[in-house]
Amino acid sequence: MTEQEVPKHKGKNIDRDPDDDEKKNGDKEDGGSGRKTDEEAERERKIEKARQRAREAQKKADPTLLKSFAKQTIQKSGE
Amino acid sequence: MKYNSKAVPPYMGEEVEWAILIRNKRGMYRLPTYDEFGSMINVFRAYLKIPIVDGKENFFENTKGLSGNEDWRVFLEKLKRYQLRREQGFLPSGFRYYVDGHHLELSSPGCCTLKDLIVSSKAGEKILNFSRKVLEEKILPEGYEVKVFKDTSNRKGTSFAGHENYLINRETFHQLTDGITKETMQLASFFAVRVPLCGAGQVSIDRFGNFSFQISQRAGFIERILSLDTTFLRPLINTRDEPHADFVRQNGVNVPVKRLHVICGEPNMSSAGMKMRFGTALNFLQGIQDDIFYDIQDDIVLKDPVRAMKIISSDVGIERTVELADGRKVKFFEILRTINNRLRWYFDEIREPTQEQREILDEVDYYCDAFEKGTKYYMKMLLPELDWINRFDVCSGILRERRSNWTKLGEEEKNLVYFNDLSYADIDPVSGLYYAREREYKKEGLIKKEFSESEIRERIFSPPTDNREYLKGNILKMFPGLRNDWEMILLPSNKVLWLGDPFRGSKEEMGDFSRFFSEDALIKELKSLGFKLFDRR
Repeated sequence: MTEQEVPKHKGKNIDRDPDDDEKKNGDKEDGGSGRKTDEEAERERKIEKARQRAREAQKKADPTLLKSFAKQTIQKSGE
Repeated sequence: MKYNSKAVPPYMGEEVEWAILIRNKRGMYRLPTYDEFGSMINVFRAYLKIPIVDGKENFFENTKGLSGNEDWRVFLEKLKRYQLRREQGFLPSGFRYYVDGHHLELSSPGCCTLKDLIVSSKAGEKILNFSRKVLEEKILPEGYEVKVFKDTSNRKGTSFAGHENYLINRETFHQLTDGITKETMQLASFFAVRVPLCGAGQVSIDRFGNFSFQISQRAGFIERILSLDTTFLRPLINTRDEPHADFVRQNGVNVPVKRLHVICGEPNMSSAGMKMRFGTALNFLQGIQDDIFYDIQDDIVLKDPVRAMKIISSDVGIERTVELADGRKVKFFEILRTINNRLRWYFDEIREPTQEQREILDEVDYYCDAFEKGTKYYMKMLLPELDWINRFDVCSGILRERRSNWTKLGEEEKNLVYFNDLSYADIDPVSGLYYAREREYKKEGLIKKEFSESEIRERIFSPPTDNREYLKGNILKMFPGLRNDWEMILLPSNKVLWLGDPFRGSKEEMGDFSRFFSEDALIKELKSLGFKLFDRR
């Protein structure tokens, strides 16, 4: 094929049925539609483990530092 | 390539303005002085054994007797004699480290790949951390502490930014910036909906002192679609016309190019977030250069992109919809999917993408699927990757443990949340909360390793090898302190080497630089390769 101008896409606009979106979204409270795969469950377990350890590190901050920092730097509005 | 694509190859860069606070012995916080900014830059330049920045014509004179190993006290005495002024501040590695207005800024070298750009960004953090440490340990009185944050606010009333720069063809640049066109609206809408893929997250405080969480730090500061401004009335699309390049050679012809300066994003701590920020914009801009979104305009263009960005940014639970120009209401990820599907067609049929560009398509689908599965799912599963989710967890973890929530925060909780929010972006690997989390995610194998520590260290000293930064950086290593800018360098013999094509001067073209023993040999080679050289007037 010789080089030529970029052709236009022939597809139609996507007509969306709002009901489809709802079906896809599933039940938010149980973490979406369907059950978690083994892979997802394993990932979730690892994330929780890492998060717990990171949280312990986070607690080590000096409380006097916190108080002084917030007192001097909290802004009431943007810029 | 089957078709004559108008899109130019990837070439991009990042500018980060750093938020810095100094805490004295009595626990009082203040902003650095101008001299302290200057010291931070110059201690790093001295470490590299390159001339310090002083604004004088002849750098060489000022560096007599100065080396990186000199006693710091003596060095400081010398430093006091120099008046730092707004200077170019380029380093041999292609970075530009300088004072812009009243903040310290570090721009990355121009990069052709996302990996190179992320490596450069991480190397930038190391440069800043070096400067921070020297300022704290060697320059300021004992007991002072210096904190550097990769964040858009220092919480002392100043907003900074992480700007992005992309090379695009000149025709598209003018379509985007000369007035509000269909292309302008497509790009502005894209910038609004990409927020959950790359937002850095931030605790936001209203004028009544109420706390909430924003996905994007920058959304609150964006007030219009198109303008030249960068410090007030900020736009989604900035019209700044400083191209730093002339043309690129493509399909046997010279294609005129410009730089698109993007100011509506914010710097990321996580590499995945940064990859999304630059990767999605790069793909979108390639598509827009070939006008591939013309017939899905109705499905991707928002009625009010500025308002939509603010709605998306304040909606941590992803419950709200945004309004398309035709009045339909959709979730942001539906628009992202439509764009992604069109880009997939574009890369399959029209233009061969790089491997990284293809990965971005898959990753956008992965994130959109996770967002669609609901709050609980993405808040957990995307924790290792996306900054705003990680940061939200840092702050909400405090509230969970104290059985509190965002609407009923006590004074002590406010302090804690506020401090931890900013500490997330602390670049010191010892005290920064992002790094504390990253270490744990790495231990569990949750973060894909895309580059090594040695590659980051290498970038501190060496430029990318696949574009003009290689040539410019190596000339700067040969002749430290030469005046230069992104697209030119003034050689010692007063000849200007013009680098208008960013893809020229790569290692592949120039070969090993150690073979040039003199400027004459270098000039001879440059002339034979057809580089533009002219005498300085």
